[in-house]
Amino acid sequence: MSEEARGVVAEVLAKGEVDGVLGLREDEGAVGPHYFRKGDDLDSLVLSPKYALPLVLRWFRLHSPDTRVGAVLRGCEERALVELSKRRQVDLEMIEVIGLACTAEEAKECGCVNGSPTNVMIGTPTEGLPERREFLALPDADDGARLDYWKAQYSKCIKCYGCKNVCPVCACEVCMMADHGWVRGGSLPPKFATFHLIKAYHMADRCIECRECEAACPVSIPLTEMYGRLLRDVERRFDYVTGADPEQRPPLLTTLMDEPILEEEEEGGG
Amino acid sequence: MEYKSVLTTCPYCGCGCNMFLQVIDGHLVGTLPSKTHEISRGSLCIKGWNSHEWVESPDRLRTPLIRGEDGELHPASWDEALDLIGSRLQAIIDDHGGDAVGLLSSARCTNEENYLMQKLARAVVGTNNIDHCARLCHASTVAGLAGTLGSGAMTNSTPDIPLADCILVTGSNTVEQHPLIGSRVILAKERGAKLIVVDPRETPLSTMADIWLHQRPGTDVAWLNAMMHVILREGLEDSEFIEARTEGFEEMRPVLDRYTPQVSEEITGIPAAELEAAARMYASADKGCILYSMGITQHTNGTDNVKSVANLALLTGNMGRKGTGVNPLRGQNNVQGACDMGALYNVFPGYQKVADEAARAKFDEAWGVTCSDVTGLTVVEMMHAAHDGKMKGMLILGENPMLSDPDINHVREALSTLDLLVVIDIFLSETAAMADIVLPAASWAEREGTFTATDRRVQRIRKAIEPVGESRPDWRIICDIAGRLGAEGFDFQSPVHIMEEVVTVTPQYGGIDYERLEEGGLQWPCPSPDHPGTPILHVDKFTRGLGLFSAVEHQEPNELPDDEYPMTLTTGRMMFHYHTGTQTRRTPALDQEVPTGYVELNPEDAKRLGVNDGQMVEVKSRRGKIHIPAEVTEKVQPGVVFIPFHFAECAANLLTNPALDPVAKIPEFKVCAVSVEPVKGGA
Repeated sequence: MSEEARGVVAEVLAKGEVDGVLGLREDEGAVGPHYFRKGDDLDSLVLSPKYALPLVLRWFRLHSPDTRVGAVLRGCEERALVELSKRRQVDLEMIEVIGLACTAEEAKECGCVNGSPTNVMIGTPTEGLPERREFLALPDADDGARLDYWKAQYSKCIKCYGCKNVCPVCACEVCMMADHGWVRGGSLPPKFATFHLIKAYHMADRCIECRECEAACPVSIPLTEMYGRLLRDVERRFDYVTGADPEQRPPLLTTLMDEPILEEEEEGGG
Repeated sequence: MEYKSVLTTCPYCGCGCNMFLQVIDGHLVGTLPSKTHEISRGSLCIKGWNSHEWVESPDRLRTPLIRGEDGELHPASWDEALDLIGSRLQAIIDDHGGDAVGLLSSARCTNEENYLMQKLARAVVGTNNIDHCARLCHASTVAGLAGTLGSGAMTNSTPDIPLADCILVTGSNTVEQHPLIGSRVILAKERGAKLIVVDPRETPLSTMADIWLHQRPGTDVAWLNAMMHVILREGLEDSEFIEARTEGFEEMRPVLDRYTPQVSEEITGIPAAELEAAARMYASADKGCILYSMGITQHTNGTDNVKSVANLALLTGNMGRKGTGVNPLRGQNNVQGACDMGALYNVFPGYQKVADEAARAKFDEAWGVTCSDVTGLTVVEMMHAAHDGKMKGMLILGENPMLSDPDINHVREALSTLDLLVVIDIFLSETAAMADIVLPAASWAEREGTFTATDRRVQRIRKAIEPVGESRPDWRIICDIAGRLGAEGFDFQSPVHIMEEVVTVTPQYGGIDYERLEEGGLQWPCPSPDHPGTPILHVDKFTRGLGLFSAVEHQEPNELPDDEYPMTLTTGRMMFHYHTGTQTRRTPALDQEVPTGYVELNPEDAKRLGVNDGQMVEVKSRRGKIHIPAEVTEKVQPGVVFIPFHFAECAANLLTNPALDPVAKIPEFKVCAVSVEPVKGGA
C-alpha cells in the first residue's frame, strides 16, 4: 500500500496546489511525521504506525496560516480536522486530505466503527465494520465496583498529560486539567474526580476515537472506554456525531438554553 | 513554510526516551514521542513532553560574558573571551602547576564533550582534577559494583524489567525520577508481578506495593543483611549459583548470622515479620529484579550499601537473566556516558585506571603526552582545595554546584577565592553568576552527539535548530579552549570525528559508530563493529570473573539528630522539576505545577511544632538555614523531613552535610540533622 501512497502523493505534489504533503517517513530506524515537498524522494514514505497528524496540522495553521498543505489522513484523523475546524483551529480550505483507508486488520485492532475518510485515495475501505462500538465489560456500577475499577485505573496516572498533549482535538487555550482551582499542582497521582473527569467531560462532544491518548499513556489506562461511553451519551441526547458535519455545532460549546436535551421518551427510554 | 520532525533523545533523565522535536521555520513548536522506539513506545513524561519549551527562552545566554572592573558581567566577543581564558589558565598552570586547576564536566553533555573535557584536563592542563556530578549520585555504584561484579552499571535493560516476577525497589522514587521505567513497574505490578518498596518516604510505587517497608534513613545495610539472614535461615538461597558463579560467601556468612530480623528492627524500625515476608517474596521469585538509586548511594556508607544490594542478588542467583539483576537507575540523560568517558578523577575512558601504569602508557601514546599519575580531586574535594587556596582556577561545564553540591555556603566561599572561574552553560546559573568568564553553550536541541542511557544504551541526539544567539556547541568550545592553550589533537570538525577517537581508546565502545547508531541505540559493551551490543551483563560469567560477596556491617550516618537539631532531613527530586531547575523552572507547564520548594512534615511533627500546611518554617542545620513553606503530609515519617533540592530560594543544599563516603567520595545528601520551627510572623 505504501507504493500506492507514493504514487498518489507524487501526483498531488506534481499538481502544485499544495506547498507540501504531511505524511509519515521511515528514517534512521524510526517512523515519524514528515513534510514531503515536490521533487523529494518518496521512497521513505510509509503509512504506519499512526501519528496524531491533525496535531501537526494545527501547528502548521498556528505558525503558517497561509500555507495550503496536503496530508495523508485516516478516517479518524479527518474527523479530527472537522472537530478542530469547528473550534477554529484549522481551516479545512487550506488542507487537502489524501484519504487513507485503514486495512481490515487495522480497523479491527482499533475497534473502529466510523470507517474511512470521505475521499479514499489510498487503500480500499473496509466493509462490514461493526455498527456499534464494543465496550469492555466493566464491573457493575450499582455497588461501587465500577467506581473502584476507574479509581484503580486512574491511580496509575503519572500526570504526563500525554493524553492531552497527543489529542488531535484538544485545543483549549487554557487547559482546565492544569487549573489549580480544580486540580492541585504537583500532586501525584492527580485526583481522578477532577483531573481525569475534566478531560473526559471535554472529550464528550469532540472525541473522534482515534485512540492516540491510549497509545500515549505510559500506564495503559483505557481512556477511550470512558470517552466513548460519554460520546454515546452525547450522541443519544443531542443527536450529535463527532467529526461528521463541519456545520454542526458541538452541543457543549453552546448554551443548553438554545439546544435543549432531547426528551428521554423520544429516545425510547435510553 | 519549513517543517522538520527531528528524532532525538530526551535531555532529562537516564531512561533515554526518543522523541521528535517539531520545528517550523527554524523554531521549536512541540514534541512528539517516538512510537517506534523501544523505551518511549509513544509515551513521554511531563518533562519530556515539554522539553522544547525552554530552548528558545529569552534568558538563554547569547554571548560570552567577561567580568569587568566594575564587578559586573559584560558581553564580549568569542575571541576576547577565549583569549582571556587561554592566557589566564596558562598563567595558573605556569605558576602553580596543572593540579591548581579543577575541571567539572557534565552529565547533561554528550559523550563526545565529556571525552574532550577529560582529555583537556589530562592531556593539556596536566591534571586528574576532573570530575562531574556522578560523584553526587552514583559514585558509590561505580565503586561498589565494579568491585563486586566488575562493571559499575545497570546489569539489565529497561525493556526487560517488566519480565520480572518480583521487583524490589529501594531508594528510588522510580515513577517521578525515571517515569518510563516507573510506568513499566506499574504495568508489571498490574500484570501480577510482586512489588516490594523499601523507602523511608511514601512514593507513587510504595502506595501500590505488595509490601512497603519504611526504614529509618541511613540504615540500609541492616535491613539488607537481615533479608539475607532470613533467606539463608529458610534455605531460599540459590546454592548452585553461589557455588558456580561467586566467591566470598563463607566470609560473608558470619556477618549475616548476626543480623537477625530483630536486630534489624532495632536499627531500622522495620517490623521483623514484615521484613521476613519481603525476604521470602523476593527470594522465592524465579526472576527477581532490584531497582535502586540515590536512597542507596547518597550515604557516607553508600559503597557498602551498593555492595549489600549486590550481595542480595548474588545470593538468590538473580543475575545474568532477563527480568533480574542489580539495576542502579542513573539520574541524568548522560551520567552513564560521562562516567564511561572518564570524566572521573581516577579513571580514563572505559574505566581504565589512572593508577595503572599500562593504562597511562596507552593514553600517553594515544594523546602524545605524558599523563599525570597524581590522583585527582573529586567534586567536593575540589571545593575544599579552592577554599584552602590550593586550587586557583576552575573550568565548569554545564554544572551548577551553587545549588547541587552539599553545604552551598562553603561552595560559595570556595568559588569566591578562585583566581579564575570559567563557566560554560546555557543559562546564567547561580554558579555562572559568580564566574569571571561565562561562555554560552548551544542546547541539546542545537547540536549533534550521543547520550548513554541508564541501561548502557548509546543513542544519538540531533540538531533541530540553529544555536540561539552566538552560542556554540560545548565540544567546539572545549576544542577552542584547548587550542588557546596551544594543544594539538583537538582539531575535530564534528562529534562524529570525536567518537572515532573515543572508540580507539574505550574498549566498551569499540564497535560504536554514528552509522550504526542511525539504526537505533547500541548497548555497551559493544567491543567491535560486528558486535550486536549487550542488553544483559554477566550472563555466563561476571565481568570480573566470579561475583564477589562482601561482608558489610551497618554504620550510622555521619550526623544524627540531637537536642539542637532533632529531626532528620532527607533530600531528593520530584516529577515536575529537574536538578537545579535551570531548564524546568523556565518551562511554563512545569513551573505552573510546582512553582517553588517545600518541606514535607509529618502531621504529628507539625502539630507538635504548631505548624499549619503552607506555613513558612525555618529549617536549620549546622551549615545553614532556609525559610520554606511546610507541606504537612503523611508521606514522611514522624521525625523525618524531606526537601526537594531544585529551588534556589529555599535551597536544600544550604543544609546538607558534605561528609563523604571514604571510597566513593559521595556526600551524604540523604541524612543530616536539622531543626524546624515556624517563622515568626510567617503566615
